[in-house]
Amino acid sequence: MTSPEERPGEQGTDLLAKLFDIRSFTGALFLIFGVIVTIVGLTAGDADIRKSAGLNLALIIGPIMLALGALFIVWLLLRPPELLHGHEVTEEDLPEQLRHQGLEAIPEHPGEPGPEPPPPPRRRPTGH
Amino acid sequence: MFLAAESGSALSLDLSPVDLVLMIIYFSFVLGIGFALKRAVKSSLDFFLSGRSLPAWVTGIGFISANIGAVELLGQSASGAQYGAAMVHYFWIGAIPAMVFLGIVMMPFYYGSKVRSVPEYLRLRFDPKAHLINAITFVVGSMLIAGVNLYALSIVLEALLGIPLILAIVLAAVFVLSYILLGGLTSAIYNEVMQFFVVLIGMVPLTIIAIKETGGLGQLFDRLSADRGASFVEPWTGTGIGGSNPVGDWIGIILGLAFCLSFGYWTTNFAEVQRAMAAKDGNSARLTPIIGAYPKAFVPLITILPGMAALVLLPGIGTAGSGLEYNDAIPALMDKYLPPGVLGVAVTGLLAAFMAGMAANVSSFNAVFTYDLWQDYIRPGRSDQYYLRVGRWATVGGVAVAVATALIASGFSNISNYLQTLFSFFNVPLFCAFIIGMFWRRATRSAGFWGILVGTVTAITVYALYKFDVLAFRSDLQETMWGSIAAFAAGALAMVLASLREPRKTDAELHGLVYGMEIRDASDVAVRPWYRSPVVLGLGVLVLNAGLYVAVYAF
Repeated sequence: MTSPEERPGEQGTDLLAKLFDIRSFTGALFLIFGVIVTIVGLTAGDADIRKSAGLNLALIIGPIMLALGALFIVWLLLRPPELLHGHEVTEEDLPEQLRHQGLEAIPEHPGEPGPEPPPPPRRRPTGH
Repeated sequence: MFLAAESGSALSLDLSPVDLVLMIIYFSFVLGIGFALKRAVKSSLDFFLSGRSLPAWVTGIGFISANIGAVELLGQSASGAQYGAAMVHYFWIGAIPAMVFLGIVMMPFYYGSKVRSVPEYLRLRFDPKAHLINAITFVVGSMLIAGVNLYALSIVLEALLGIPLILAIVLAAVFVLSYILLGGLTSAIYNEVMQFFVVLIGMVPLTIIAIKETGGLGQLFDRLSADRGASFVEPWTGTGIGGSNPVGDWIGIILGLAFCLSFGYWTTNFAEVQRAMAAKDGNSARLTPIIGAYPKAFVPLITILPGMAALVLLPGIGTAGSGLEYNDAIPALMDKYLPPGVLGVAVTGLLAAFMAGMAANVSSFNAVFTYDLWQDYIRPGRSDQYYLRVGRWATVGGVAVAVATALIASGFSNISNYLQTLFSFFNVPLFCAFIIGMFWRRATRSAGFWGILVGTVTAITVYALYKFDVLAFRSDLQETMWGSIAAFAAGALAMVLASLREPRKTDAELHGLVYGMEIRDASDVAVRPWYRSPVVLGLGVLVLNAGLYVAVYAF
């Protein structure tokens, strides 16, 4: 697994990429939903309130969604996302028993010298 | 909901423009996620396993959300109306211990060994025979079940929005296809996270209002108890041998439902396990099902409980002539009690849940098809980009088959029930092969194949004997429980017998795959705070479960 720290220069350069975090999507969705439903709640008629057991439900749910949306955005700001970037598959990504069977195209991967003799099968991969 | 078409259920929702606006906004977000994630897909691993990069809370919510589809929301509320409180066993003694077990015990084998799918584990642990039987049944099963989900979704679209059925099927299929083609598994999981919160916001107020309208939980339970007997509101009452609890007896519940059926489903279904495999490290993978278990513990409160309340609030539901099936409980309650705006959120959640169910089938189907069938048997040794292209085409093909299945199902609606039954026969024997394979090193190459085969045949035999009245059970539910116990026992016996006549596998072949040889990464061996410890969180949810059982009796 390649962490952003190992790819200097990439982190922080792509502002758009940083926005593509699930928290920004969910946060934005609930902010929009919250605003719409709150407005509906503010303009709710008696019939709507009678319908839902005497509660102005839209005026309860709307602000809850606003708060939820805000929560996601605050969380996003406090802990900026790691960049989501694709990464090439290497032998390390395969089960030990399958290495040097399915991935013949090793030279495609820049920075790797090409097919090496298989490692001794019992050697545990050290933490990475 | 499948049944709705048969009976021509007359339910249709009264949606206001603002509800439609909310729906359109939500589905634009869904597509937006697909486009945003397109640039993060560079390899087959990104496409099928999110590049093993997601944090535990995302995969955990995805794990549970992939399961909140048609079966959960509508099916469990229907079962609540039909069988009562005993359905909570499916959650509290069934799903949750299985999810905790998957996280604490089994995940190191799945994640640590770096297998890319559940069938791939079988290939490495046993042999290609066991691998093929699992890969083929999974591929066929998930395409057909995606079709069934698609059909269910289209019925809802037709009923609620008045879109013609065929158009609804194609529309929903194109939608799911485009966001999975763009963003792969990450797209599916991100949508599951968003959907989870929308479902929650839609269902919780519905439950609260339903309970309020019935005069409170105590009054609802008293009334149902008077009408239908104590075993309808007390999950353990009447579960003795020969008792009256409709779900079955305690041996069947504990051994059959909890140990065989639920463990079988949750620990070997790749559509679920795939979410954990997408986690960024070993500890996050182990936390995935456990984080999912916390919301799962409360799902009965928003499914079974409204189903039970519907018996009081929608008089005559489930009887001929009322125009309402048990499956309609939730949409009918929404229509009756939710005001504009809130109704839009709730219906959006419902549609999103159906769509996510189908997306989960498609995104696990294409991985198994590409890695386990195409790469292993048809075109091995190509470049990774080649397999990424195959995966994209497999997605198109899988959705096409799902559309065909949905069209067939719209002609013969019973077909969906048969399909679900058929593929359920494979689950328990699979679990048997996994658990014995993981914990008994002596199990040999062919043991997996024989265990799956003999177990499946046994499950089908018990089912046939029940259908031909040779064996008698209280309900279909009790039959599945005892059928699974028989399947597990027969499968285990077959595995032992097969292993005794073969040489064992070498330690190198088994490395990472069996108990005592797990590969744990740094995140999994480091000292963690308690809130990141799978064991602490796992025990926590089990205690929570026991508390919920007690709480049911308090009312």
